[in-house]
Amino acid sequence: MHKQIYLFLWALLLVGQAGVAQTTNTTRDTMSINYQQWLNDSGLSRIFTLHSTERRGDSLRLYLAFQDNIRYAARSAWEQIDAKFRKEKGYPLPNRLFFAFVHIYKQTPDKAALFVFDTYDLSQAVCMGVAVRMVNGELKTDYRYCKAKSEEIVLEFNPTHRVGKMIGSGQVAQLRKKAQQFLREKYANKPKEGYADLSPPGSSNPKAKIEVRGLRREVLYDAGNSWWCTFWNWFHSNEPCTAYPREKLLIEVLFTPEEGRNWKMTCTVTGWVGSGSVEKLSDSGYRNMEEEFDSYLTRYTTLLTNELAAYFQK
Amino acid sequence: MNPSVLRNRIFFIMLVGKVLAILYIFSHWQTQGFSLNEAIGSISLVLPLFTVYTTAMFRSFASAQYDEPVQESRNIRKINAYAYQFICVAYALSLLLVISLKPSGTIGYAAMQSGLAAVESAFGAYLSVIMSSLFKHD
Repeated sequence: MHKQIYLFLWALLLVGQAGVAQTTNTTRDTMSINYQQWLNDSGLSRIFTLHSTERRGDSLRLYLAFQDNIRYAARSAWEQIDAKFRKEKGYPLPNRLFFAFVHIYKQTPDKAALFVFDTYDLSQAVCMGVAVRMVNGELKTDYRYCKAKSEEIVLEFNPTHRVGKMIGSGQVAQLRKKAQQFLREKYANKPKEGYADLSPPGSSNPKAKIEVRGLRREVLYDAGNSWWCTFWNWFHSNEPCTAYPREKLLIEVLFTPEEGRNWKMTCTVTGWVGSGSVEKLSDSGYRNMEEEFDSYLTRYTTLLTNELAAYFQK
Repeated sequence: MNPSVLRNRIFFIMLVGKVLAILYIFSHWQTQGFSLNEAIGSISLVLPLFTVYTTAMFRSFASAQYDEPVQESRNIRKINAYAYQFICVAYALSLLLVISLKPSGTIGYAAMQSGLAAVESAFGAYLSVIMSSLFKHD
């Protein structure tokens, strides 16, 4: 009887391992090695690595992954390199990746598809996904981003208002600086592990962009009510629970001109959550809030946009 | 060492080790080191072997329910007893170590799953020998 149980266990374990291996079905054939070599030679391997290939009938799919160190910033990495390709080579990045793929794999373009995902971990939300394929003789690229929360609000400026008096790029710069100032002040006194102003340079740039990491109970305001903290507080009445989840926020504030002297302000918040009980948390330890805390992020985005609008109307 | 003493120790080590692993995953879920799906997935990886071993252990325990159990004439050699206990402790610690790497972001969830499967298979053979030799069905 025991032997049967142990044999069953071994079989179970092997099936489990085969399942894990199946999810990373990396076919390292000669063509895949050549494609990876092409990525290396073209310098694109700093951003991408070949994840796997999958044959479906006579069509072939190629899956690329982002390198681990930029996975959390996959979208901006993609946008930067795509813009560079368009400017320097005159064609977009997806075209280069796709045509190299069909050439190296000797595949007819209409029987080929290329996918790029920031994660292949089924338990995590995909925050950056690109699908490139040939549709009716034309290359089509579809994007999928994780749902950052966006709120739009129209800022009405009286012509006598300081911002209202300014015109053109001066006004944009003024708005952006004010948004940057608001965000700096808002997070200045909050416990955090890092603050970075990622706003693109240039006086005509209409976007303020910041990243704050290691915040606690900012978006997940009721994290103190967790079972863990309740349990902790039973035994440590003098030492309150501090193991609140870490939060990382990427906040983008974009200004677009409206009719008259009004401006539309679009506030976009992308949120990540990570362990609150480890001493140091690397970027890959954060996961998108979309998976479990969607409603919290929606609420936070609305509150932040309203606060920001009130600040502008001061 | 008396076989029944060793059996109790092994039972205790395995029970505490697995319960600690499950509580550890639970605590990390509460502090968001694991998402709910990841926590459930991890527990379901850790639990099956545990259930099989504890069933074998409990069967042995239940078979010794009478006041005057059958006396075992032969003791287990010290070296064997220590080796058995060491393997069980190392197994439990390895599980905890692999689990602890995920919340800090040192490894991803997929790598942690592979790590747990590796620990289970690396120790599985030894544990099955220990279990079958110590917890025979009477």
